[in-house]
Amino acid sequence: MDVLSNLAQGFAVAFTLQNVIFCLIGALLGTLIGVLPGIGPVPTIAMLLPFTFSLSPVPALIMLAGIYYGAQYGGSTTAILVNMPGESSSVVTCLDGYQMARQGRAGAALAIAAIGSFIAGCFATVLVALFSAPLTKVAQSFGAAEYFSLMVFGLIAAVVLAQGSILKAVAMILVGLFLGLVGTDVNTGRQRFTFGIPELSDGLGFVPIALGIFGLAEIISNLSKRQERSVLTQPIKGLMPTAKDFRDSLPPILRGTFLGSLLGVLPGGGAVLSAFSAYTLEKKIARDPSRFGKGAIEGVAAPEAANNAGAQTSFIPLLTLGIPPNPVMALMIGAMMIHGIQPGPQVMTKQPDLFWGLIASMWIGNLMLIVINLPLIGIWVRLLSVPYRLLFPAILLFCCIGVYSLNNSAFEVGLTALFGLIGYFFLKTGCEGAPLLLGFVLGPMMEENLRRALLLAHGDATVFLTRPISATLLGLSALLLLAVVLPAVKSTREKAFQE
Amino acid sequence: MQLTIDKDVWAGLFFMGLAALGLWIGTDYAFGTAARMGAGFLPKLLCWLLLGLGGLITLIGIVRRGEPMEAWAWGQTLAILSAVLVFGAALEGFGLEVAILGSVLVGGVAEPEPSRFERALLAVLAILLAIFLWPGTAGKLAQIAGTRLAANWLLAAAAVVMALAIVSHARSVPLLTMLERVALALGLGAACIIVFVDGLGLNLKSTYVMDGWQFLKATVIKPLLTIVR
Repeated sequence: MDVLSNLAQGFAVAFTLQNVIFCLIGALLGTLIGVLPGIGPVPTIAMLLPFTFSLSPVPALIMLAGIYYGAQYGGSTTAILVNMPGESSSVVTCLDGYQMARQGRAGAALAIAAIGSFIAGCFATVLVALFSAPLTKVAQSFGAAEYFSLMVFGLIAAVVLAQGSILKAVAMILVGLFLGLVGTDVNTGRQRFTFGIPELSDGLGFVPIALGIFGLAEIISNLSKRQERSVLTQPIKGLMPTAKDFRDSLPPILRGTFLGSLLGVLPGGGAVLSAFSAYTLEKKIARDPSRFGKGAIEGVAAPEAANNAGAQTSFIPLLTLGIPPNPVMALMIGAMMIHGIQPGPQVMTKQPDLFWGLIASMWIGNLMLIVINLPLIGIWVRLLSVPYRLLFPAILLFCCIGVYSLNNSAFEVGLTALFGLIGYFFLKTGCEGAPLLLGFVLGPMMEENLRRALLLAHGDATVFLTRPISATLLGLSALLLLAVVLPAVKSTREKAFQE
Repeated sequence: MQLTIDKDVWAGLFFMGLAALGLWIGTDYAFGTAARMGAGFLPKLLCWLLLGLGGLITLIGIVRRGEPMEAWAWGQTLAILSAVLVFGAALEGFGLEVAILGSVLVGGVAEPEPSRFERALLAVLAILLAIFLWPGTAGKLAQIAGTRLAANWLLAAAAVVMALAIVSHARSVPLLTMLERVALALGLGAACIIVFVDGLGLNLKSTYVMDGWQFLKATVIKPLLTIVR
């Protein structure tokens, strides 16, 4: 019953009035920004990050968790109402959600999405609590060599499971690792790639990089596309789904939750893969698959549940191993580091309040989504009918103010512009930004562990292959890479992402 | 036959360029040995990997002709990026009002088909900006002097010109003609760079210029020798 007492401790931390309010504010702000079309969770979190810096670590992380869930839910709202996915994980929600909205059932779709997310959230919270402790024990037995191999495995798996060209994604990881090198070398004190600029001696900030590559680049490409958005004009009547809707969507929610929780732990999996596979599963087992794409409620319920469950369980590798499985978690790592917390197995033992409080606040964050978002749907809809050309200056300003207030540095604002340019280039050449961000966050840790492992082994590089855990992890990475290169797997992988 | 360059080729060239840059700048970072990694160990390793991978991507792109790169939206790119730069530069140089007005104004140019209302709004913004920038407004004159004063006059004048331009083109479909956009972006960009460089005291290292042999020795021969040993 260790887990129960731990959870109780967590809820005691999270349920103080102050923390609940921060969670509420976070969820509200997250939804507010996340609902804006073309802004996924990554730029949303990057933009709102500076708002949490004045807080102490526990409320700050709780607020961030709120922002995360808010942003996720905001993305689904946009998908259902405007048929414009703010992020890749809500692409599937568009398929049936928008059709439901066109049939005048937007209210039911939004409600089922929220309820499905909540159920998934409850389940995944318990899962996180259950598995964190044992995994932390495993992680504590890891040495430098194991950590290095684990990071290699994480990066490779993230690339293989994500979509797009493998070669380019690996190159993007390398670019990210390279960017992570900028700054003062911890061991030798040597300034690397700083061009003599004092602002760079602490390394590149990850907020300018994330906002530039994910935020600014998106704005530019949205502006240049001139797409017609058809915001729903008919009023949303009847928020509550019917009893039949509930009966139809409960099993898909449960299946989605299960699948999502499982896939969320995988590196690179997280929300996207979960949503895709949950939708495919529902379509496969449905009695009448032709209903999908025409407003089937299962097509909204399952991916939304899976997406949220996956989003939540992706906290497991972050909290126990200190390894982010996806870019959102990479941002969370960055946020933790700014608050002086080194993510990893020691968080749980050294700062149990923070650890269990965060887990409890996940559940509270999910509850908030239901409590605040369902009544506020009207407001989000009105926000959506504001044309993008009026919105983007505000988004732009928000980005600028966010970056500046981070360190009161105009230099970082300029850096954001530079990464905006690079990000737009990446968009145009079909390079994914996510591996870059992962590499960037993991870079310094990888170098440190590589250095330490080699130092302990007196420069013998075979240490990575002679230690069993490390060798297994590296072998798995090699297998994954090989598997993708094989033509048979390649075609099915392409087919899977086609859907 | 039209010569189009593949997406992959561009990406590969970018990776190779970045790697080459990293090798060049990192020439004099000590490589060290595997047991005692120097500051240059991982950078050089990474750059060589990236160089190879970039080359591979480029080659594949050349052999297997994929999609060509789509047209680059230069107007929007310039407008959005200069809006951000203007914000950063103006905030420290001229204060928050100017930064907000300036960046919205510059970013607003990115809009392809503004309505009459938006035009009017942008013109008003430009005039407001000019008022804020005008030396003497709100007793700022005492605080600014020298090159800053000149910059203020210049930018204020630019804002007025911009307001006039927006109003005078009331009937044309794009807000500003391409020429005006480029001129404005260049002008504002130059002003930003001046303020940035001024503020940073940026100094480019002269040590980057070295002869080819030294470069070769530090990036290729020394790491190779270390690995062989």
